[in-house]
Amino acid sequence: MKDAPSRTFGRFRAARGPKGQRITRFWPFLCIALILLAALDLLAGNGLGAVGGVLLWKLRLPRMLTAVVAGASLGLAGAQMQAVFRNPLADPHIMGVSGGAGLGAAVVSLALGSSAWWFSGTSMALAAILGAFLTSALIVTLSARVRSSTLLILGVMLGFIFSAVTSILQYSAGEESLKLFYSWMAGSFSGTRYGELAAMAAALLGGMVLAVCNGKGLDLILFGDDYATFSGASTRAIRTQAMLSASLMTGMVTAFCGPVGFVGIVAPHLARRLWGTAAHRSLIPGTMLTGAFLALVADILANLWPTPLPVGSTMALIGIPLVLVLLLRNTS
Amino acid sequence: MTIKIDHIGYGNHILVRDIAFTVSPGECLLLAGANGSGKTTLLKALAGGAIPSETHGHPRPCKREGPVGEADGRGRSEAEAVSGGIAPPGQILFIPTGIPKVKGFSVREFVRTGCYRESDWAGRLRPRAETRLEESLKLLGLSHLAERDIATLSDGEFQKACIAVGLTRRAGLLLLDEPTAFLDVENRLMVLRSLRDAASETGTAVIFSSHDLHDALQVARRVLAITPDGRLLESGPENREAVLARAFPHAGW
Repeated sequence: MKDAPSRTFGRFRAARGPKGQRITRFWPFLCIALILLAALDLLAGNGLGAVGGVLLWKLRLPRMLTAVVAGASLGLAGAQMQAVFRNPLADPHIMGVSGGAGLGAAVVSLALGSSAWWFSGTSMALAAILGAFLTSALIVTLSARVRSSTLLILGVMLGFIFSAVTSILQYSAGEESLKLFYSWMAGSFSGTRYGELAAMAAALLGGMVLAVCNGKGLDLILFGDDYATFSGASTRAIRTQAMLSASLMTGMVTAFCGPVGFVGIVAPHLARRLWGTAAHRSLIPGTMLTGAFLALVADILANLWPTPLPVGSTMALIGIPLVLVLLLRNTS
Repeated sequence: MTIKIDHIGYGNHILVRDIAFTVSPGECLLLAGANGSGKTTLLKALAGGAIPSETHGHPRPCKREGPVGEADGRGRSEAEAVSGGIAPPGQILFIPTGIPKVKGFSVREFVRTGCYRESDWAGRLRPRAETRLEESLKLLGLSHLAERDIATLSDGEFQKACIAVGLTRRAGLLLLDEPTAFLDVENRLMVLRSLRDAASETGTAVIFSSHDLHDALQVARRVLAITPDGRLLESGPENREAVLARAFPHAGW
């Protein structure tokens, strides 16, 4: 079979295998690029330079691995939320799930104070996960009542409310806990321990299994609730499973890395472009790869300077132009 | 098969009562009626009354009997399994109107996606269903478009792809809500003709609703019409116009 027209984007051509499956040349290419970027990320820190010993094992390697896991998690969470809300702009950050996680962390670190005996990174992380789950549960409950376009606005409003409450908490917080909270809020992949990394990897694995098993359902709900229902699927079950997966991963990543936005929006779009398909069978692994890719680039950019920049900011600087380009291309 | 439904409606508001009609395999029926007369609700009720979350209120298929009919060897024997008003999958299939042409799915992938109940966890179909898919595409003249992105199809071609889903799922009775609603004149006739041909070729019975009676009458052998006072009339091949005249008393039929 010849190369199919129209499914290709620019010079990226999708080749076809014997059974008609799409085999792109991107898998090897992107994997090599990812490894190169990962290596580059290990060198980044106070500018670029060779490292070795303790610095590599205790700081750089966990930071690099965190970036990979966090990027993949947020990308996959974004892809699922875009299907759930049938909206290309949906992602954990926009829909207020990150905000919910942030509020959870803020309640523990600011309102209850760092003086409490049980205060630690772990309790902050648990609170963030709880916040993400509660927000997702709220969104899923609301999704049964309102249209998906209204839901996006609702999610944005929810995010504003969370940040308003977070601001109030900051206002009355002590200096010590405020400092801790700010450094968390800025978003960073550094400073994670291997135990925390393992927790994030476990959440990614769990989220991935949920997503892969839900793949054909995620495809189906893109064509509308009526169509999905009469095809014999339960849209509620599909949505719940997707949101469970998304909030598990978002909660865990946000807990340890702070709210990092835009990976969730951009990664799925990038994956759809590269692989030329919106079918989740290809999109799920694809978006994890592009998510990790973006996070590594943002992390390298953040660590090239004498004082490291917050990853949340570098990600926004890469992500927002990409979102704009994608939006403008889609409309033209 | 004979289909009987006591009444359909939302809440306490009854749209159509005493519904009873027969459909034979391979037949193509037009469902006509004024706006808001309950065409879509009736089709959904026939499909098993599954209630999508975005509709307001509840379509209530009440005291549904049937479909009652003899098994005809085309998977139709599943009809006997009907209980509690929910038809088994693969038997009566409903294709709603206005399905979005989501970019990034080939025609084949789209059809497989619609076969949610029939596919495995990864969305793959069994070889037999896969053969049926290819046959359906061929029958509808879509074979050369099978790997095209559905976003690049014309509305008429996409509507045919939706019909292919019904054929691949081995519908005994295929229900289409306004299959020609968004089409221009040429595409309308093209879609309706392939619908009729597919029905007679595969033995699938088809009921489609339409506002465009002129085109629809070219392919529909018989007519089901909802009258303003909420009755469902069933025509024979000869008295189609007479029945339509009672459904649209002011249209001058």
